[in-house]
Amino acid sequence: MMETIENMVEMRFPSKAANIGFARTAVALFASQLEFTLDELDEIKIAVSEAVSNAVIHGYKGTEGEITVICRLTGNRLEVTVKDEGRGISNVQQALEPAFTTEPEERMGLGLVFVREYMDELVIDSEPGKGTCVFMAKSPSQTRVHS
Amino acid sequence: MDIAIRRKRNALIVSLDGELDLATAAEVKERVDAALAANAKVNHLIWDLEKVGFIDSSGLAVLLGRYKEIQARSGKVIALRALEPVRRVLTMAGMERIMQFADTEEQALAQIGGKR
Repeated sequence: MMETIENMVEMRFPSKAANIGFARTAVALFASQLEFTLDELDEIKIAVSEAVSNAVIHGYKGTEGEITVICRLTGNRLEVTVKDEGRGISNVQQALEPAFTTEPEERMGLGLVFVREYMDELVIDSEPGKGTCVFMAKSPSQTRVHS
Repeated sequence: MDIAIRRKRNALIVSLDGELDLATAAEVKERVDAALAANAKVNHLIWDLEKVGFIDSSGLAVLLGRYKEIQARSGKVIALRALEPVRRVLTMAGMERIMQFADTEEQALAQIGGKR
């Protein structure tokens, strides 16, 4: 019988790069309530790091705003939402393309590629001028149940 | 992030201690670029990643950016002692195409065939 955990944590912090490490570590700790392997927890850390970095770099480019990270455990699934109220993305499909970057000199355009690779689900909702909401979900492979 | 940079033969060995992400990328980039600029005869770059527990695309961008400089100097880039989680990210990003992996400094120096 699989235990069902229902839990939720919400974090709000200013869009400083120094907070990215805290956010990914906190989400991984929260996620460890499920049967994720160490490799999977590393993957979650990377996905969160990419999503929060995007909010800092692109969402609030040159300015400071608030980033909200909401983690939920629903059954055997981790859901993470990363929200900003920054500039938004005008073309989400383009942003998801491998190697697409608005800053080719310094960035590789791999951030969202990692998120897609490491999480089971990725949904990006964004509107220019209003902000971006990145929803990601992952279930542990060891006890993953498909209905 | 603790950054130690030393020169051995015609290689720069950069030892990092910490997590390589957006918060630390700029400092690593500045320190390594300054060292490369100050050592015109250096043409290889060895990243000692033994104490790097985390890397994401911001960290990879630092490695890739320095690769371009080393390529211009006809040198090689080596990832030394990369831990498994970091190595997995490097491999997934296809960094094996632009850098070699080594388990010991001697091995790294042998791979670049450094001139004295």
